Amino acid sequence: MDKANRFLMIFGRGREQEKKDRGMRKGGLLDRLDRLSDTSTAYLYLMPTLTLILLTVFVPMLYALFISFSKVAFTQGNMTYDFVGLSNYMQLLSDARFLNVLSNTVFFTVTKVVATLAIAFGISLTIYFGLWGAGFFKRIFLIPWALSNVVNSLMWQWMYSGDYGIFNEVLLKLGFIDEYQMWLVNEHTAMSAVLFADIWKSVPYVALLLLAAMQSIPRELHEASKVDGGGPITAFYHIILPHIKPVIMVLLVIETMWTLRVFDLIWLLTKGGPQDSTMTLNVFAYEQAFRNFDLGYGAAISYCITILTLIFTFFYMKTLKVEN
Amino acid sequence: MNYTATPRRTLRRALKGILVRVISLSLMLYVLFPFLWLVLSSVKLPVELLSRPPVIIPEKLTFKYYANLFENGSFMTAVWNSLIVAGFTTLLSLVLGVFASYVFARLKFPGRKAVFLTILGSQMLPQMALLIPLFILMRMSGLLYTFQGLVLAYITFSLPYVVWMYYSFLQSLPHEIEEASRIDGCTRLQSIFRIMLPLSATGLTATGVFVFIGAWNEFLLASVLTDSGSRTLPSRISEFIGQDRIAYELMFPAGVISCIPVLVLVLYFQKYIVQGLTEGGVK
Repeated sequence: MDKANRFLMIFGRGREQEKKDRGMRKGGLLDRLDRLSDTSTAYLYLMPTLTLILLTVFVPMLYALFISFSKVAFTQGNMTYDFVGLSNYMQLLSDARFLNVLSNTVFFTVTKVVATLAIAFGISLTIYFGLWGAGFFKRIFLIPWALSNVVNSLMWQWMYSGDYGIFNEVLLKLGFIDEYQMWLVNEHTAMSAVLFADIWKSVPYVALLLLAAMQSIPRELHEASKVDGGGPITAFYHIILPHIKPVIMVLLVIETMWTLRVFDLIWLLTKGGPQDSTMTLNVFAYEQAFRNFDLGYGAAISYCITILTLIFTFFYMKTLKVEN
Repeated sequence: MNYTATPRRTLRRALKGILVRVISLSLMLYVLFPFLWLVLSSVKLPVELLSRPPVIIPEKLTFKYYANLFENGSFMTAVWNSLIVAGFTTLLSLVLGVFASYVFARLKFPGRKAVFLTILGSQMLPQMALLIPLFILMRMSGLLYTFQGLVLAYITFSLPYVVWMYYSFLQSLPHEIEEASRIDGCTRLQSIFRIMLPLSATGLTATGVFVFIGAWNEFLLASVLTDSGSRTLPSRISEFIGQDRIAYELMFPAGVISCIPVLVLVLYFQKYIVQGLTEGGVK
């Protein structure tokens, strides 16, 4: 190597090194940020998210607790608070409607979760064991999940219509009813009608997760069972069921949590009526807070929902931990 | 070869084939019928729409009411509002969520688990419990009935969701390429923007699609936090139901229009949506 070249190399490297040193010493903001430790970087990057969640979730939740201890009144566009202690909660406990609302909520939740899982199970099994037109089915399968609750309620209200509903026509043709029924206005049928619509929407998601669990079963297990002379029923009980049990557990908890917060569909289809027959805690809270403008009472009711949800969240976390 | 058994076997196979087809068709009908019926109803003239017994296949299709909606000022405002609100919700929660997910997927630091659970847990709180204080706080701060207010309320739910979903996508991505880029002199931000984001583009898109659909469809918060000027599509459509005369012929096309962006997204991104739904245990 000749002298000149060596000189250039050293000179070049020196320049580069010098630049780097200068960058390290003075550096722009970006350089300085880049030298932060992992912990500082983590909290720096998390700051906007945490601030937002603090401001829009935790502060409001605390504030809701305060509201639930007050009577809020609107006078000439101004809001006034009266601290009333536990009286909103007392009012709830002594409310003649409360017990009914609570039992509706429990009924709605249990029925919906069980029925959704059962139907979804049937669908995922059908897909798993070979479905005619599977490609097409997989394309349309998520439609109920994707539609908004407003559109969902629009569709079902129309199908249930006591005047022009296709649902009535089909049942009439099949001989189940003698004349058109007002499904959503009859207090004996409204609950089932709403449930049916809500289940329809929830099934695809649950079926999808069940199917994913089934498809993760190793093929060898099935082959081994066939070699041992087991039929489809043996395969179902001894291979599929044990394998997807963890997913079923998780789904039970998730679905329960989600069903506890169902509001849109019930509100849009029946507003909780007729005669409170479809009134659940969520609808009740909304009605009290935004129809009767008793925000304190509404907050107290929604705190009850929160506590119920937290209990289930706790179970959820625990189930997840067990499964992992 | 057993000749006597062949016809019986053929028959059994044929029966099985028919049974499979019947079950499959009824499943498809169950999943598809309500929506098909809505679409059919949206192109019927009132004569056939309001008939008893219902007319299944209309003799004459009409797109008159779709056209009416496009000329309806308040409806088009609602479409526009929905686009703005859903768009900004998606954009903001992705921008913030990318950094948060990066932190959880790539960095080790004290308090990691606690912070992660706090962010995820905040999504599990029922919306109803948040709505009442949000309504009052927004009323006091002047955010009530504004896009900013609604977007803020949506971010509450979409941001934890983005963190969770994008985080699980990032975890399935190898660290090595990023680490190599760091050794080669990329800054942390460069390795995020030049390496991690392009590599996880599909995950990011899927997450964005989820957030957009959620915000586009949302009704509860919108029904309280918007007024006639800032109504989004779902709350505008729900008003059709409450009008003195139920405007069926407008309601159904409006419903169909509100589904179009969502259905396009779902059909186009099907693969990633399925992946997102099965990976994250969150709806």
